Amino acid sequence: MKNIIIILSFIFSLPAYSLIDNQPTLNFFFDSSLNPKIGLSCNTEMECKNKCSNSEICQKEVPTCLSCIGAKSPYLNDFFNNIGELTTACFDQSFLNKEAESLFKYVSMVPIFPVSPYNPLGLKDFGLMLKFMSLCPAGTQEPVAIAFTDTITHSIREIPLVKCGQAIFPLVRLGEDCEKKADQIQEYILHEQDKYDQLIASYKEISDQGESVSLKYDVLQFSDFSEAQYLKCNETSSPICQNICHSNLSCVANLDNEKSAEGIAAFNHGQFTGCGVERFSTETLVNYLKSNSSFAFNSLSLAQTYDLPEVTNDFKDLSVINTILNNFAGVFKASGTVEDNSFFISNSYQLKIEAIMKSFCDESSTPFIMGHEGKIERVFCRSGQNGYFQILADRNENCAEKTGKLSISNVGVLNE
Amino acid sequence: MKFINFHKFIVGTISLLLSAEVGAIAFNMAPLEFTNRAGCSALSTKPARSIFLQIDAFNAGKAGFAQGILAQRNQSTENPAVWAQKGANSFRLWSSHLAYEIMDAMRTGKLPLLNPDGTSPAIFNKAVEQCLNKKQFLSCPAMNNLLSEVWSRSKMKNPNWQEIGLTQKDFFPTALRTNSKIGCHIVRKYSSFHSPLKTQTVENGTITNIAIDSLTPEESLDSCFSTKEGKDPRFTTVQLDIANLEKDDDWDKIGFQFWHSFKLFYSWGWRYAPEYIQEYGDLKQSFSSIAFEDSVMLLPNGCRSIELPKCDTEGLNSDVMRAAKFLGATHPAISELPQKPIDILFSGKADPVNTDGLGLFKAENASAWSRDFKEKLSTLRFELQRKIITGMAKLQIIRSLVSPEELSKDINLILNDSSYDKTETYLACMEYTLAKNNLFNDIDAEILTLNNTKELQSVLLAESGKDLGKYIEYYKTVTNTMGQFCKALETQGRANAATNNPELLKSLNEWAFNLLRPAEKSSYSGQCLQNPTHPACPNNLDKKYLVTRPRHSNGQNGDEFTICKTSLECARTVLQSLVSIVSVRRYAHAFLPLDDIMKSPSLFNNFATPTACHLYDPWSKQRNSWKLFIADLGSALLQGATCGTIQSRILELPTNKVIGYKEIYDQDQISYQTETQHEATKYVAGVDYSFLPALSCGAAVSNTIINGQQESLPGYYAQLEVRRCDGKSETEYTVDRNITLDPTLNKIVKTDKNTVQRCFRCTFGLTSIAKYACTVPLVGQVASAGIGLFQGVMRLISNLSDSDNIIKTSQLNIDQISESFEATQAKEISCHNKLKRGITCNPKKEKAIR
Repeated sequence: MKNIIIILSFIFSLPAYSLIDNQPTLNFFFDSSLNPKIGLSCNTEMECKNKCSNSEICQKEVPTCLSCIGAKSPYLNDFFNNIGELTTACFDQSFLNKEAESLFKYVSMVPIFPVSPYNPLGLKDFGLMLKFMSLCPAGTQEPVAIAFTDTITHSIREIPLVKCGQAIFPLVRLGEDCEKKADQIQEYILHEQDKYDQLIASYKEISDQGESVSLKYDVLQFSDFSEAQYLKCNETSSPICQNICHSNLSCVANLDNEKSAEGIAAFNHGQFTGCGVERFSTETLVNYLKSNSSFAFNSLSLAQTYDLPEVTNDFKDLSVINTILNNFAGVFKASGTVEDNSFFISNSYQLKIEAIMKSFCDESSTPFIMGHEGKIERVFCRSGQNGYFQILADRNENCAEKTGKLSISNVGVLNE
Repeated sequence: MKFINFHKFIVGTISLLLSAEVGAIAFNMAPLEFTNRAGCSALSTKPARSIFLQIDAFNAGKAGFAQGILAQRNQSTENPAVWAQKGANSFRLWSSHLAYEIMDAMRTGKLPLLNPDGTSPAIFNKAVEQCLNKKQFLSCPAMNNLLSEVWSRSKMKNPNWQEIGLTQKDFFPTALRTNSKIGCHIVRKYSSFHSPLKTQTVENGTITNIAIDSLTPEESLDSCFSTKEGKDPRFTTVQLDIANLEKDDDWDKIGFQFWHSFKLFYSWGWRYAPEYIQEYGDLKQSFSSIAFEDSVMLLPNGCRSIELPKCDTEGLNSDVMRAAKFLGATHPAISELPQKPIDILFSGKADPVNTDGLGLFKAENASAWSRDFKEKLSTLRFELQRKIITGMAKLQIIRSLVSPEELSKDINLILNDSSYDKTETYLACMEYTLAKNNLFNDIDAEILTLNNTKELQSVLLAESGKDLGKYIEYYKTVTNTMGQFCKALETQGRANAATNNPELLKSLNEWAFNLLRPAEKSSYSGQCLQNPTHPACPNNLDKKYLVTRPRHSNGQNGDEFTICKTSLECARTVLQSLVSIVSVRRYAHAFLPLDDIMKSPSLFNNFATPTACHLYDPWSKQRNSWKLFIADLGSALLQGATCGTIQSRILELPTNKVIGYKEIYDQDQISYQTETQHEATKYVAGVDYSFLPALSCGAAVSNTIINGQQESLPGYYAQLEVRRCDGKSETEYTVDRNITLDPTLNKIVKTDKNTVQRCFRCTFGLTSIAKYACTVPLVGQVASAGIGLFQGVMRLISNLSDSDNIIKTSQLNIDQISESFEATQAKEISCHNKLKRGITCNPKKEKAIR
């Protein structure tokens, strides 16, 4: 029973800066709302910023694993039926440790913990857990098997690795050669890196073309509560969509309803002025689609219903909502009953905000207000296939300063 | 998890909320179709208008539980079981809501219908070609990209579909859309709303029961948006209907396309639709990773199909699955070497349809039924998976430890060792001979093609499966060796077993024993497991151990389990493992999660596959009846003059309509034998017999020959009239004297009415009377014509009343019944009769008229 506790206790360890050496290590963990995450350790914040799209910590969400919960995946059936017996780890092949960064950057992967919903045989199989433990050298901790998934379709391609503590070992089938397997894995990583590089190269080539690139941007209302940014590519601009979402047709990036509300509140509150029209830049637009902290809204967004933050630990965290309501006094209304936990913008304010939005663009174009972390940055005036930007500064900001700041922060995000 | 939004997320589904009060509840259910066997078979080729969505929230519960274990580590008060419950409930809500939303979006023309045959826009054809044609769906980027684009566009204010090549014809027809509604209900218990599943005709009680149930719908139904948890959080049956379709024919044209598109959007949407992902909240990674096609199943509610039944391995699915409901773990699928599905299909016996063969109404509630069914399927799946995993593992171990060449060498060494155990050589040679001999089964042929077919590819994608080709090669080498080896033993006189022990055969592997002793199948009990000291058991054989021993440690407690110890035992194990895999392949389609696309077997129509396989023709009996009737009719008319007979040699009549006699005659599909009266017959033209199905007993004939004017009026012939006999045993017929055929109008014109009434008993020995009529001039031509015709009519009636094989369908509309009933709280007889014929009935109006 002790083993299980050890296994489970590590799960919550957040990605820490590695103290022992400079080698970055992979971390699999769960965030506060129990979503699985993949992290890469860095020695300093700066290092993380360099490695991971300007972010202070290197982490990303664990992608969907196509049809993995259920008894459908042959890989998972095979894995859970044969670990510790036909499938074993090669402890002599530890050179993969140095691949942590490449794995994090280029390979789409899903961690498999000893207690895993992916296990087709059941959740709490003690015998199986023991077998799972045998994938790591005695005395080291917590094995986590790593499944490589297809970047586009999310289906499992193979389950070739196990992570024991900080070490990564290849998994082999009985009769398979350890060294050969390790080579194969390295090849796989290189192959993924190649693909990635190619994608970036063709993306760069096309994005340098500026306004002549044909892209159609929109913010779509998928339901009364949910919006997403949408980008349609055509044949020539398809590398852009491929870079964002691996599709050659179009991409959809979900918007966080709470962040949009903050954005709308800030927009109303800030008394913005335009800092002059900017040339269309693919990178700027892509940045808003790819970043986790961005928001974007159009006039239709104003008619959405917004959620109150979720109830945590028996009390309502009202700080965010209070900020929104304070910034936006009289604008937001609670909808119907309190239990609804949502609010919307009154019609008169919708019209008012819409008018301000429109004032930043010419008549023939459609305005989208964009920003990060609740801070308004730009208006995107969509006209025809793309459009133009304009940086917005509020009464406390200075146009030159803001323009300078924004141009730096764009760098890096694109390579994510 | 966000449950809060659920209520608000529901758009425009107000009419679905059920209330216990008496009031006009719009059930929005498709008409209930009551059919007999032939009718049910014929409907199998038409698209369903009502389906059951069988939701199994097990995987979602598991995802919730796993999350709960994590939560518990954070906070000890958290209970994983509660999390599991939440996961399951959430899954049920969102999956049924998504289904509803997709159906409604297609109905209202927001989402297009994607045509599976690739006649749709180029962009879809490309995806079909790249993905669906290769049996790939979500594991194929082109399809994902397309669906994502289509989904996004459907949310735009101005979708501009032309941009991706979609036009008006790719959407649900506007004419069908007008009054149509999507119904979505949780079926708590099967009730009279599902009567067509257990009764073939509308009986007096049927309507009353529906009416009564419609007053308290909450006892059997719930809104599918209800957040109330059911008795069983795991299994839910949701009924989805497309109601009030204006034109049945139009629906029949697009219905299959509708369901096909539905399945694509449903699978994709569950995982990737942005608004749903957002609602999954903390469970978004888990929920989008659920094997969705394995958690939901679509079943047509009735005889119609969701997918046009096909006569292929996949098409046989539904039969195999249906059998699983009865047979459970005794299903042939898990026997050592099962018969092929096609061999057990429709083995000559015609089971009844719509008699609740699967016990829906016997189950305590709908969830209990689903649970029982799913558990049986799971048992079978588990067994098949176990078989394939064990088989593949053994092959892998043997191959990794001994190459086929080495094994062959080891086997051949036995030839030099005359003292080698004869029992072992006997068993090995027997098994290889059985496998090779296609007289017994197709084992050899099937092993060699294991890798060519698609069935196993998705089950065996994993590491081990990539080597299947190598195992087949291995088998080929060993088979070769064994062939020569056994022959050589024979020439050495060592081919027979040392003992004549009948128990020896039980040391064969089970599949071989069953082939050899089919009658004693049940007596096979793994003898060597029960009685390992038996001399014929491998352990006790005098054997040479392999130099490289394919033993393998299972790593659990240090004990070794042995896969095979001797060369011959290894050869036998290779064969045995491949036989397991062959046997899994035979039933893989029914029980293993092979496809990306969710299953939709025609579970309640046991004649769907026989019909698709042309083992049963729902129209044949009807065709034959008409064929006989027309022959009789012709004979009768001619008998008026000649007593000759018309012989019918109609092979193909139009399947669903009755054509005129002239038409048939003109097509030379009827020949008249003997003293030719060709001239006369053709004047029967223009008679439309299509009113005939309404008659019960009786016929009338008019014939200008009656006055012996045949000579002078050669061209003027009979008009046929049929009258109802009101269930009496007597029948009357009328002879109108002067009826002429206007050649310019091609129409029969009455000139004078002189009715002769006669009554015949329905019990006449008709044939003899007809003969008598022909031979005795006294009776006169009219009588003979009348009798002859009467005979034909009788034959038709008796044929048409074949309760199983002549198509019979009737429809009832729940909303109409509910409405009429609710207004008076009591059923008016006249109203009842109207309803029975599917006519709307308003009791208040009825009263006013009276």
